[in-house]
Amino acid sequence: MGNFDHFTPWRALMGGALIGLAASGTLFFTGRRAGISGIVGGLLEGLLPGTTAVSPIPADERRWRAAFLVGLLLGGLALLAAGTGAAFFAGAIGAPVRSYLGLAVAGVLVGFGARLGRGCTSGHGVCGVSRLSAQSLVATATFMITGIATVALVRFTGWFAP
Amino acid sequence: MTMTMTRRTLLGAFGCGLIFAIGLGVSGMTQPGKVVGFLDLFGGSWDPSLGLVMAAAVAVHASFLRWMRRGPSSAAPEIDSCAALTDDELAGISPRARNGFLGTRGGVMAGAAIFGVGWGLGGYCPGPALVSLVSLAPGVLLFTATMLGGMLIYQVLLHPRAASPGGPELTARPTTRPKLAR
Repeated sequence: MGNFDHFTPWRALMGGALIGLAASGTLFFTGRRAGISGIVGGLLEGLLPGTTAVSPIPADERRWRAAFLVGLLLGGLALLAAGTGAAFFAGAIGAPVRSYLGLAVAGVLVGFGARLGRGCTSGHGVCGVSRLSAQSLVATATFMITGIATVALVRFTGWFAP
Repeated sequence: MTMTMTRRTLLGAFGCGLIFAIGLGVSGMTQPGKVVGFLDLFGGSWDPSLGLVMAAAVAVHASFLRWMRRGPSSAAPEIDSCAALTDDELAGISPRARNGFLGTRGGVMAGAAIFGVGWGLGGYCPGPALVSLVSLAPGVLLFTATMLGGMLIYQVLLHPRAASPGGPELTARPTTRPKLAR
């Protein structure tokens, strides 16, 4: 561990609080977990010809997911717009740090892994950990460990450099 | 596990998506450099920000959960305690989406391990990727496309099909219905 040049504690705290607020609001309004992989995955269920959802996804489950997703995308737009003016939001959307090949491989692993793992950093890391769910605690610890190992490996080998 | 849908549900979900995105942006989690910086424990320039983001998010959300568990309040008299719900119920996953591997501790760990590799490699997870889509950066578009592909691969390869007629009936746990305030 070294210098904390890039540490942004206040933005981290503020942004994290907003994420916690959004997760709480999602549970309040929908009775469901704010896990992005589950939200996206639920929308993809049964879409491909030849696959059926285990039990048909009720239209209501798709509807709230779609509403959340629209909010997410519009939030991104707001960040992009604010970034041009407000210094606080500057660089909110950052540049990728891997080659295109690396990003492509990463995407497949994240998508597949999030579904098999029944969650991602929001579903397990925020929502599951908050309720001390054993499954989420284990999952979060697991992806933290493999994430750390992967960054170390990529740094050591120099693979997928941008 | 069924939900009651009202206009308020949809507006609430939309608003939460919006706040979630802004939270991701403000906290810096839409910068893959900061995500990788947190996971870069051995690199010499560790960035603890992500840890603080999660701590703050958990602190807020856990406080909310404690408030909910106190039972009916005047603000939301019809919200059942979420403590009784299982992880799968909260995630909207049917009890039938389980077999000897899927949904078990081993299955979830395997998935999380794979997810972690992709996360450390790309510096993106689903939320930040979707939020960053509007920038139309080719890297983000590519990651998101293959991420959706990975999800579809899972569905095609591993997702159990609906039980065939005459097959064994999987016993579902007694579920509580998350009732939503009007």
